[in-house]
Amino acid sequence: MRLAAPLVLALALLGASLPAMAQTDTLNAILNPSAASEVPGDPSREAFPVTDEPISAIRIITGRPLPGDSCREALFEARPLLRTRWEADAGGSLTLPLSDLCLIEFRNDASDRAIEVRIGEDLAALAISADQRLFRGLVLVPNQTTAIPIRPLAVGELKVSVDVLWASPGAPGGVQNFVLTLAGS
Amino acid sequence: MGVVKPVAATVSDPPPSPSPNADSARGPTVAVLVPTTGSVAVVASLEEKPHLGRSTVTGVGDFRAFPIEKDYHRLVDGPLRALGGSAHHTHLTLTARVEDGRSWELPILIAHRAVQHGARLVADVATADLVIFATGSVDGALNPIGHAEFLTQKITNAAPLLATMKPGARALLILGPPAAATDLATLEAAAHSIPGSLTATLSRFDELDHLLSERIGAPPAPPSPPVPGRVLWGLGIAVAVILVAGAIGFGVSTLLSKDPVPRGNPFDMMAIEQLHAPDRDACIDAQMAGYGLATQRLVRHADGFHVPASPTTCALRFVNTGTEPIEISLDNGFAGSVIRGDTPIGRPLRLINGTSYELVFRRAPLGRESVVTVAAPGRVGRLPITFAAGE
Repeated sequence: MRLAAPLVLALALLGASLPAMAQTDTLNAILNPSAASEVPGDPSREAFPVTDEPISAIRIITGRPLPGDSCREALFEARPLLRTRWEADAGGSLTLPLSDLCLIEFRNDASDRAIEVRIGEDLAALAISADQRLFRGLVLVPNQTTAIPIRPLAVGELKVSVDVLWASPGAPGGVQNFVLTLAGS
Repeated sequence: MGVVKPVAATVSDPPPSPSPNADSARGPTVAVLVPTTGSVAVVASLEEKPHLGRSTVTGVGDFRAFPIEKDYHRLVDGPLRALGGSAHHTHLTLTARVEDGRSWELPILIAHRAVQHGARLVADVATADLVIFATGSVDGALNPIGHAEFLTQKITNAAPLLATMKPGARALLILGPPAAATDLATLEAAAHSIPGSLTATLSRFDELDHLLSERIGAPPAPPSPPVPGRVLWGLGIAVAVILVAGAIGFGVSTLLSKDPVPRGNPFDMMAIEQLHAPDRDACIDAQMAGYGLATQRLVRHADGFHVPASPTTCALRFVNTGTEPIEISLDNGFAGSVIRGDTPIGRPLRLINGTSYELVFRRAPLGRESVVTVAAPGRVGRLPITFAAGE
């Protein structure tokens, strides 16, 4: 049982509901840890490593409609979105064009620490729906994402302050900040 | 109603025999897995610590509390103690960090009850007579609740540990309700690869205790010491003192404070509003442009909330009308009918007092029903939200 069980169990799981690629990665990780470390997720090959700075853990992902679609169709007809990932620098500014911006996500890419994210209230005007804790301080555990569907209001240029700090005990303290500039067309 | 399903053993099988080197008078060795999406923790120890100011959770050999400490303290010093758990604060030690969420509640409850049933907890799965894998949360009466989240991932994470089970050891794979068909299939697929394993879905605390009685042994009856005459005198005096102190305390507390522990139905702390428009296009126009929508508060009936088919429902707004945060969650009844974004479907969404959350529909889920769970400190309530069928 000691030798066969991981294989049998992992194969049994292939019949379950994981997407095919996720299953492959998981299976690789169980059956051959050294092979699993060669996938693009290898920390040594990571383009944007997570450091002791909380801002290094946060990813900003934007969703825009496919050519020919609109945000209205993307959100209310569940059409696919073109996703783009962005990183921010402490004290810096990240400018995102507001035109055709359907969705903004904030994701914690740290593998072992939670982060707390607090977004300026200004974004609430554009949010069709949002977890209200985002504007007070929302804790994202590792790999957790919060998503905000956006309405296309003519607000000109909107500057939204984003505070990020580690939320796990023992992690370095201190708040880091960047400005998210949503630029109208 | 809970279901216990034997996979490669029968329910009437005897409890596992204690390890040869175990103290047979103290029951079998049990390893309780606490699966998370990132890893699997094992309960290393549960120790009564009367000197602690509160119950705590740490890693092995560490003193820093995990983020779940506050809720663990509430669990131990609240419903667990009310149902006969330890009278002292407890130090729970886990082999890996548990950060957040509520799926640790069911396995930790099981660890506490397993000890009550005479089990000896071990962190090394390879030495355990019985290995328990469970995921889910519990309500204020310790009844398992909540949909199992990321079950496949959790079982995959646990697979290497389960593979180290010694020959003859048994595994119990437990979920709370509502267990989706895919979750049950996943659970049973995993169980089929582990000889001597059982799967169980439990909806009530007494079902859990019954299962542990079968697999570990019955909990000892509470001791009933003899009561000699001298003790009776002492008892009478003690009762009189307690009554006087209680009367004084009641008067003082009435003067100094209102009831600090809220009582009653958690739905008294939440209102549901229907945001509506004449038709779907008008709904979408308003959502995209940020226009206000007509709003109507839904009446709470004994059988839940009823949403009419007309006018068209654009969104449901959940409003925390209480004085403290609550958590709301919905089962999968409305899945696929809402727009992208954070939703309480399948995972609790914390709603701070004074705030609201809008569940925005792509199209109104006519003819469908979803059960909303509202959790306030010490209380949990569930009611269905039912959309009338369209024409």
